[in-house]
Amino acid sequence: MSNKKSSDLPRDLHVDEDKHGMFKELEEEEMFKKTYAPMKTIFLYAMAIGWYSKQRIPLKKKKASIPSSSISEKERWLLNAIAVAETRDIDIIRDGEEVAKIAEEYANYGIDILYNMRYDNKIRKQSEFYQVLDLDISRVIKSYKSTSDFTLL
Amino acid sequence: MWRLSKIILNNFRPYRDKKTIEFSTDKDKRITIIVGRNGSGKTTLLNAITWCLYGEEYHIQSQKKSKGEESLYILNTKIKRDLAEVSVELYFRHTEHDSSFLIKRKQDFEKINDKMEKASRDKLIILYKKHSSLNWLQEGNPDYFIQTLLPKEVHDFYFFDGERLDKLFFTKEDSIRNIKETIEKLSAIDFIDNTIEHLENVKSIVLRNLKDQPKSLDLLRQKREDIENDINNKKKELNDVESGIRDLESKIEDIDKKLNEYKETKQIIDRRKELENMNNEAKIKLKELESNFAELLITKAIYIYCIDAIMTLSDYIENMYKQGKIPPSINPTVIEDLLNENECICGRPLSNNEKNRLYNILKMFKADQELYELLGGNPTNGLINTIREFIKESDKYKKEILDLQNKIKQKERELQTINDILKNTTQENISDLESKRIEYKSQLNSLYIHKGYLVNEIDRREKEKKDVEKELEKEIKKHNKYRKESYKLDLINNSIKLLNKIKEERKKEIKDKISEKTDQFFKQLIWKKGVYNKVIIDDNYNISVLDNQGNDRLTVLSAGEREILALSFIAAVRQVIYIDMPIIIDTPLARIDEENRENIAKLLPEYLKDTQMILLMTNTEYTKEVSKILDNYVGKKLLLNFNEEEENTSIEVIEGEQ
Repeated sequence: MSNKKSSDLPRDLHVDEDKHGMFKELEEEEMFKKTYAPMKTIFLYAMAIGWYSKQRIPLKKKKASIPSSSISEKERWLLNAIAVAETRDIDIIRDGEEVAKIAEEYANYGIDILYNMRYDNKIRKQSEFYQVLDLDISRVIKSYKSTSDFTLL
Repeated sequence: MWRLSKIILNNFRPYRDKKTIEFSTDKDKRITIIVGRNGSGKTTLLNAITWCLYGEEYHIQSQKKSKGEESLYILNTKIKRDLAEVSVELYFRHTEHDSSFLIKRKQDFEKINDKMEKASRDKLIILYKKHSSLNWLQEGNPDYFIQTLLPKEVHDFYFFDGERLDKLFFTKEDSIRNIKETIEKLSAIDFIDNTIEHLENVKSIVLRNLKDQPKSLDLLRQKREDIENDINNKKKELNDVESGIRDLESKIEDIDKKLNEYKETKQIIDRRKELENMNNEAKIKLKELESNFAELLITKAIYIYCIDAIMTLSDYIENMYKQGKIPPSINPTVIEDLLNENECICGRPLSNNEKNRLYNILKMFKADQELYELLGGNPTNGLINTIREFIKESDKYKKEILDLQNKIKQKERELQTINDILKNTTQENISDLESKRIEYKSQLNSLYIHKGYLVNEIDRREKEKKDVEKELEKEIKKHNKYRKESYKLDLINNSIKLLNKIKEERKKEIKDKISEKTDQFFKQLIWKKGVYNKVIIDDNYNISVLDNQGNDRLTVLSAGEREILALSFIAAVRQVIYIDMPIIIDTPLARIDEENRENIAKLLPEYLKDTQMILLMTNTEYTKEVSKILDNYVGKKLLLNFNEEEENTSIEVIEGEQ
C-alpha cells in the first residue's frame, strides 16, 4: 500500500511535450551536464525565470520528465513558496499535485526565455552562456535592491 | 618479471661496428648506471631503443624530425662502403622462468653516387625461446607483438628524458589532453571505443540493407548517411588540423631554442617562455573558475529570481506563529481521546451536539498540527541563507575571475613588448627568426580557432544524427516486416548505452586511483614535509598541488619539486596500469640543484620498487654523494667514451661483470 500523503509531489514533474526538445538540447550543454540531475536543474531554472516574469502557461500535452525524488528539500520549499505567493493561501503546501502544477506552468513559460538566452544568435560559445545568466541575475538583484524584500536579507 | 639483459648496436650513429651493452638484471641490484659526457651517446641509446621498437627516434631534435631525414642519420657517418647494415637488438629475459625474446630492427644501406642511401625499408624481427628451449622461434606478427608489449603511445612513461620531465604538467593544453588520451589507451578505454565504433558501423549496415523501403524511410536513412559522412569528413579535417598544430608548435619551439643561443636575447626569450607558460596555466585556471561559477549560477540563482515568493511565504509563517495558530494550542489527541471515550473531562457523557462541535474543533486543530509538522520551524530561513551565501560566493568568483583576466592581460602586454623588441632588433638573424615566429603564431591561432569550430560542429552534427536515428527507428518500428531489424537496432543501442556507462565508470575509477596514488607518492617523496596538503587530478588530468590553506602551488614549485611531482604521477600510472617493462631515464638529475639531487637519488629506487632501471647520467650529475646513495642498488656501472675523430663511442665497464 502506498504511504503517499496529499502534500507529497506527484511521482514525476512534467514538461510540455512540444518543449521537451528544448529541455533535451539544454541538457546536453556542458554546464548542465555536470550537475547532479541536469533535467531537474533546467526545470527549476525555467520555473524561477517564469515566476520572475509572472507568466505561467498551462501544459498542452504533459510529458513526465523529472522524477520528483530528485527534488531536494530546499528546492521543494521553493516550489511551495511560489505556490503560496501565487494563491495567497498557505494551505496549498498540503496539496502536492497543485504545487507541482503551478511549478510546471511557470517552467513552461520560463523555458522559452532560458532557451533563447542560450541559443540567441549572438552567443556562440558555451562559455558565454554563464555571462548571460550572470548579467540577468545582476539585473534581478538590482531591481530587488530597491524593495524591502531585499533589504531584509 | 621481464628484464632487459642487453642491447647490441651496430653502426647506429656513434656506436660504430658492433657494440654490446649488458644491463644489470639482478633482483636487488637492479640499477645500471651509464655515465658519459654530453654528446657521448647517452640520448642515442634512448633513441636506439625507440627506433628498435617503433622505427622512430623520439628523443631527437624536432627540426631534424620534421624534415623526415632521421632514418639517414642513424648510419654512422664514417661508414662508406658499398653495403652497410644498421641494426639494434634488444634482449629480454624473464626472472622466474627461463624464457627470452629478442627484438631486432635492421636497415640496409648502399653506396649510390658516393653517398650512402637506404637500400630498402627497415625490417623488424622478433625471436623467442620458451622455458629452457634451445631453439629460437620467429614471431609471425612482430608489430602486433610490440603493440601488446608496450604500445607506442605510452613509451613516454617508460623511456624518458629527465630534463623534460618537469614540464609534464607545464606545457600547452594539448599535452595535458595527450596525457589523458595516453592513460585512457593504457586502461583499455580505447578498446571500448573501438567496440562502440564497430557497433555504430553494424548499425549503419542494418539501416543500409533494409529491403523495399518506403520513401519516408529512405529519406530519413539518406539524411542519416549524409550527416554521418559529414561527421567523418570533419573528423578527418580535425586530425589534419591537430597535426598542423603539433607541427607549428614544434617549429616555434625550435625557433625559441635558436633565439636562446644568442646571448643578447637569452634573458628576454626566457622571460617570454615563462610568461607564456604562466598565461597557459592562468587560462586553464580561468576556465575552471568560470565552470565553477557557472555551476553556482545554475543551481543557486533560482532562489534570487524568487525572493518575493520566499519572503511572502516567510511572512505567512511568521504571522501564523504570531497569531498562535501554530503550534496548535491544544494537542488534537486530547480531543480524540474524549471522542473515543464519549465522555467529558468531568466524567459526564457527551451530547450529540457537543460531539459535532468537538469533531469540527478536532478537524481545525488537526489541520494546524499537520501544517506545523510540515513546516518544521520556518524553512524559508534556509532559503534566505542560500541567497546570502550565493551573493557572497558569486561576488568572490567574479572578483577572482576579473583579477585573473587582468593578470592575463597584463602578461599579454608584456609579451607584446618582448615581441616588438625582438622584431625590431637591428640584428638580422634575430629579427628574421622572430618574424617567422610571429607568422607561425598567427597560423597557430587560426588553427586553434578552426579546431574549436570543428569540435563544435562535430558535436552539433552528432546530436543531429542521434535525433534522425531516433525518428528513423520509430519509423522502422511501424513496419512489421522490419521486426528483425528493429530488434537488432534495439540490441545495438542498448549495448552502446551500456558500453558508454562502463567507459565512464572505468575512466573515473582509473582517474581516482591515479589521483590518490600521486598524492600518496608525492607526500612520501617530497622533502618539505607538511607544506603540501593534497595533490588533486581532475577529470581532464589537470593537476593541482594544494597547500594547507587550500591554495594551488603548482606554478611556484621548484624544478626539483616538479620532477618529484612528475615521477609520482608516473609511478601512480604504472601502479594503476601495470606493464612489465624497465624504466630508462636520460639525465634524471640534470635540472635539479645540488641540494635536492641527493634527495631524488635517495627516493628514485624507493619510488620504483622491483623495477629494473637504467640511468643515463653526465659526470656532473653522478657526483660522489649521488654514487654513495645509489650504490646499494647498482649492479653495473658503465662509462661511454666518444672519439670525435673516429666518430666512435666505446663502452667501458667500471663496475659489475664484463
